[in-house]
Amino acid sequence: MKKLKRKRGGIFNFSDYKSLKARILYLLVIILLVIIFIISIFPPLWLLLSSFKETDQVLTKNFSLFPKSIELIRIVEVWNQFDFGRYYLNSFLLVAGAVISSILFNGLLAYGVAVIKPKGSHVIDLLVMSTLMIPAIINISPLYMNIVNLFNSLGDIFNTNVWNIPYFTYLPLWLIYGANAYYYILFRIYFAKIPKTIFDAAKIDGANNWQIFRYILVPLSIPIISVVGIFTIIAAWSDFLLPSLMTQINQSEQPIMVKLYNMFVNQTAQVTFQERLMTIMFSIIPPIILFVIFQKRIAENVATTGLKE
Amino acid sequence: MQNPFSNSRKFMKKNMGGYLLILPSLLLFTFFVWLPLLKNVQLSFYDITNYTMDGTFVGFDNYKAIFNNPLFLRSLFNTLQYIFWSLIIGFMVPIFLAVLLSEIVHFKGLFRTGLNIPNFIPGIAAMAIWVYFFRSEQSGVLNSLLNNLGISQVNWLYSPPWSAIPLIVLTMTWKSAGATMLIYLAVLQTIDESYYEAARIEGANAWQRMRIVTFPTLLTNIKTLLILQIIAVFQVFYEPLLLTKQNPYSYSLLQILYKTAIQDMEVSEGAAMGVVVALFLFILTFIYLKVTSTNEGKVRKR
Repeated sequence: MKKLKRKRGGIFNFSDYKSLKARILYLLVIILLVIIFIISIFPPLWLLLSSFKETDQVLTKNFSLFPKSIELIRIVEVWNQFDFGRYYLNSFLLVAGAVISSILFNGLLAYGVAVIKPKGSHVIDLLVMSTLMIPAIINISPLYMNIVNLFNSLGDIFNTNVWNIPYFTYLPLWLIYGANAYYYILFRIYFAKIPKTIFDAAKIDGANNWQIFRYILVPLSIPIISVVGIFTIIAAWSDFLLPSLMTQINQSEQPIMVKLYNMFVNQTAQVTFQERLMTIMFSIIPPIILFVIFQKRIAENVATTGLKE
Repeated sequence: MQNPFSNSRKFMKKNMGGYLLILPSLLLFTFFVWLPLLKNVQLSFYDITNYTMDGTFVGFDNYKAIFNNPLFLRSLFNTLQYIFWSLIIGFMVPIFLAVLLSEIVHFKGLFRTGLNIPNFIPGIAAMAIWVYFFRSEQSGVLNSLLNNLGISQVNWLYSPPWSAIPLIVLTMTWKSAGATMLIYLAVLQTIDESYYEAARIEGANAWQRMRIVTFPTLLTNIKTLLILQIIAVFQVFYEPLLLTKQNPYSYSLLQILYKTAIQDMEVSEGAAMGVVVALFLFILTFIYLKVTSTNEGKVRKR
């Protein structure tokens, strides 16, 4: 109540809340938001609790949220039985490379266009921006054909089958994150706001373009770098289409999302109900943890750029 | 007269450093984005299956084929339905949520966090959870919840058949509304309290204050997010892929593209579909860029 008495801005302020009607309305809004809050977290909560349950407890006509007994050992069993450690490792490897490539290449391009501005950079900007909304799946077959051709030519040159080199197929999966119009524009908007005098001063001191990028721009841009980093982590973790094509041959290199995709879309393997639920659960835990840690920074970015992931 | 060579040398000296620095990024864009886009156009005029590159030139045959493909036409029509439902459900919900959240002073952070959690669940994992919720058997989560309330089971997503799209749009809204809400919320927080105060002094009631102060402030973002919403609808893919699978009533454009190009390996027809969808998206992207750049202009003029 005290908080309401101090509320100044907004459609309703403290003077409105003197009336009982307004206070009842406020209470109704809070109740509505509680309901929406429950709807938001209910599906993942159901998943978490159901993965502890026996199959016949989940697929029942009488709904109950909480399991009759919680056996943590089941999780460990399923984890080991299906070798989730390996899929996690693959996913982490995929994400790590994607983040480096995403920050480095999109950052450099945005630096070139927003700060150095060589002749013709506005044409490059237009070409990049025009692909902002084109999802990778539209070009998936020509892209895959290009990668296969490149790999085969590389194999001919070095006289080896590159498909057999461990994790060589991850190279395109990493590098594709270096060509992302959305991350590029986030960088470009941010870099353009940095006062030009800072770069001029560094130039007078004899710094070259790379040194300005590395020692001046990067330290000034930690907020946007972490935002692009977080978005890339989520995107690379969630990606399944190109990764599934690239890991067809060497299936032990599949990230967890490809396993999930094969389970629900291709239905290539016979899996138990329990394994399905646990795979979903294991696949959503890392991104949610990441979100809880970095949510403030994500909200700040949305506030400044008006763009979301 | 100036020596053209000294000119070009000066040009190179001035620009070379910049070009060198962006060259790797440009190579990546070329390999991963621009070349595949162009190659798609090329493939769409050839007759190629099974990922072998040798095929014959067939002109517009692939385009004729896809526009005679009932499932592709159905997907085009479905896209209109997706747009319709997403404007009714998906577009309004974030605005509504942002207004509610900007008005409250209790548990604000908790609500904001909770409403955003679905957005950080990877797409196919989120839809995989909803698969269990929408199961048509008694054991489906929603059906068992209804059973506890004494309501008999519902054949979600299938009966009536047109219910698939609104339900898919609901799950999409569940996933993304929290993130879109953040954008509106950020704008609402910039409104100075004196505007509301002035309206109050003029005798405006709550509804009028909302109409006069709140909505005009949001209008710019409403316009840009409207376009983004339509673009997002053109990219509907894994939602029906997991939830309704082969059900033609919810087949999306990218879903049939995926089926054609990847599952059936009809590379050329898939390419033709890709070109058609890309054309739609290019047009929408340019509208979006146009709208956002005029907004930027307005801000600068102030």
